[in-house]
Amino acid sequence: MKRLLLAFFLIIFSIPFMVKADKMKPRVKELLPVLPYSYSQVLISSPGFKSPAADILFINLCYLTGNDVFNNWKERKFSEEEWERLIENVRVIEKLDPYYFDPLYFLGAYVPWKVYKNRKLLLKINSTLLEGSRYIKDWRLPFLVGFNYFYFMDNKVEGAKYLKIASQMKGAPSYLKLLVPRLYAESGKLDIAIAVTYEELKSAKQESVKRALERRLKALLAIKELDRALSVYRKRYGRCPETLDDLVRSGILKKLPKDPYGGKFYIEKRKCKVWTTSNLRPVSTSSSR
Amino acid sequence: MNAIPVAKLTFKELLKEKAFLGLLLFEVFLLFVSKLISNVVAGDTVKVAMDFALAFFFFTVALFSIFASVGSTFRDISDKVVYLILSKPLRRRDYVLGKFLGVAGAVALFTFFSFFVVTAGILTISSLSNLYVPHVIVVERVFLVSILTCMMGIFLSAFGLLFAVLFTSQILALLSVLFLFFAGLELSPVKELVTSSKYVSPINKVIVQLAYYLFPNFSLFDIKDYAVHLSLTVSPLYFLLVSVYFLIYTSAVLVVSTLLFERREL
Repeated sequence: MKRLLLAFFLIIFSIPFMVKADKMKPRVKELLPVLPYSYSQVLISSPGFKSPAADILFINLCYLTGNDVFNNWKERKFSEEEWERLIENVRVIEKLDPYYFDPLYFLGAYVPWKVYKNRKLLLKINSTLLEGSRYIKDWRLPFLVGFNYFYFMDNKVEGAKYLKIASQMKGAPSYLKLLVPRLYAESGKLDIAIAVTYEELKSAKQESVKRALERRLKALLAIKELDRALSVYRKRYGRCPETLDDLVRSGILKKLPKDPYGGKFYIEKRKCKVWTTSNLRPVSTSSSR
Repeated sequence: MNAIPVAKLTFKELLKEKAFLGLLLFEVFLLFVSKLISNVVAGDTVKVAMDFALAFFFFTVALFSIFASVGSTFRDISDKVVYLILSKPLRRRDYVLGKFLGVAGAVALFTFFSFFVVTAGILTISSLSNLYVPHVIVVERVFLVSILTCMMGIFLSAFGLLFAVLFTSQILALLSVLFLFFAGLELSPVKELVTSSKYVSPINKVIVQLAYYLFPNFSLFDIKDYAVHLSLTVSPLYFLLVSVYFLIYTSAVLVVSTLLFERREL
């Protein structure tokens, strides 16, 4: 017993020396805190622990991003190269555990706001999300791809394409069905917008969604009618009319249709196209984006 | 059958082993570790806890199988029990078979208890977590994982017995089985990486392919992801094929073990 106590106190006595020595230990300063991981290395070094390895990589990734968000590295934020490494690490996680949703959600919902100026990285994020959607049937993945396309890359047609996929998946919110035709309409693809709205209207079951789609269709058909009249005017006079009233005055239209959203139709002079002040949303709640 | 008394003796002896209860308690400790790790992750914490808990379960069963098979055989030899047994009207191959059946029974019982510990653990972790979208746990799936894990344990104990008969050093036998186990787990991913790589020479590709076909493939018994991700499906044919593979390969290992034991000088 005495010897055991002696051994215990000796170990306790050694602690300050260990702590002091540990502080003085020479360490290599890492230039980049986000380290790149390779799929093959992680796979080989974790036999039977493939999924836990993916979990640990994700914990590491969250920790590093958390530090970046809360500015714990006071000297600087993540560089673009580090964000690229982070995206690559999510791809490694995806390969290790293709059914793991959280890293993909993190990648699609958070990272684009940090790298939105770099188109290459946005495309990399989208391809990772699409690869993930092969295994995980969750509407949020194609939604995030579509959102990245229309919001950050200003590619409304591609955006609408993926939002349409998302809107048809289980659990998708009903507003997605309305967002798709709006994006097509905003990008000038009126015929696609009308066709998509018709299609959605046929399959819609909820009364509120049906009403919203009917209103959207009415507005789109009105824009289409005005657009057609506009091209007749251009053919006849060789120029774009000053206002929509010119279409009535010239006899092409009997009267101007009304915007069911409460806005006012007008001519976008640069493109000579019709659009509405409501932006296809009820005027009281509409915002610029 | 002459092997039955040896099997009973081995089974009883292994149940009295400290390793049996010790590893079960260690598993409870590992469940706490799983819970702690899952606490630091963002999102589905139950998924992470299950990943770790099931991986620890798989390895605890493997460890028990290795220690039980190698340890029990070496103890029989070092304590001279083997002379006592073989002095009875019993053939050497019956001794090996009995030893294997006893260890297999102990491994099955250990896996059965572990299944209850792990299932209770992950259900408790799930009830304690406050997820926005709850992670559904299907106990039947965990049970199917346990069945394959049990098969893996028995398969591994056949190798434990083989190396215990082959080597005169217990440490060497233990390390060899551990090496074989990890090699067997790595073979599928290594083959996948090597065959898809442009930088590996054709000769090395052939060597890896040969190793893939000849080495015991322990990764077949690892279907932990099936219990964690409900969208994953496993065909009943898979279970049948793995069972047939397990039976054939285990029989082959036992044949070699009996042959070696019959030729061994005690």
